[in-house]
Amino acid sequence: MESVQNADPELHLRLGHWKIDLARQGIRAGIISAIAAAVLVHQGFTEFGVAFATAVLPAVFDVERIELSPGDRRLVSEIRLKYAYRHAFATEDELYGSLPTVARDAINRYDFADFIGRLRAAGLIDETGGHRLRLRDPDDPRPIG
Amino acid sequence: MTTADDDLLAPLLAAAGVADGPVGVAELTALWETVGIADDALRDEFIDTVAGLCR
Repeated sequence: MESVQNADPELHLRLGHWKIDLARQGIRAGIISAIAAAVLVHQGFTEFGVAFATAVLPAVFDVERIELSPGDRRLVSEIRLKYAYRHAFATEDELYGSLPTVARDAINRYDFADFIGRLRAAGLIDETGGHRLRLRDPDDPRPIG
Repeated sequence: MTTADDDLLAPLLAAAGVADGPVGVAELTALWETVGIADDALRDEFIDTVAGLCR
């Protein structure tokens, strides 16, 4: 920040005798966080002030969004087409084995394990002990009753 | 390199008519106007907070 030399730093702030460089690392993220924090404070979502919420928000917002590819969605559909696998738990091997031959020819067992990992990260898998799992509907990811 | 934060801030800067460079209270006030919260105390807190990022 460039500031004009003056006795009262608060005066600089109110009168605009300072500049911050948007090109500086982290400044843009800080401004966005401060805006988000102010909105939250305004809406009553936090009893803390803007400065505190700004400090906390980046940690809160550091959430990776897991997106399923069209191929992943098609695989989920292939498995969930079978009533048994839509409602009951099965092992990864059983789920892989349930795929049509043409799908297994295109996706080897290692790629299938990665696919299951992506679903797990996206919260689209229910699991029981014994490594048995059940896929949720990506368009309605609530737990299956 | 364009980051997600750039993507979020760029339209606000454009709406506020603020150039991408050094900004001061006037520019931040214009930026605040785009948020649409008519609360001067909150605006001042926002500007204080942004200034505080640089201290």
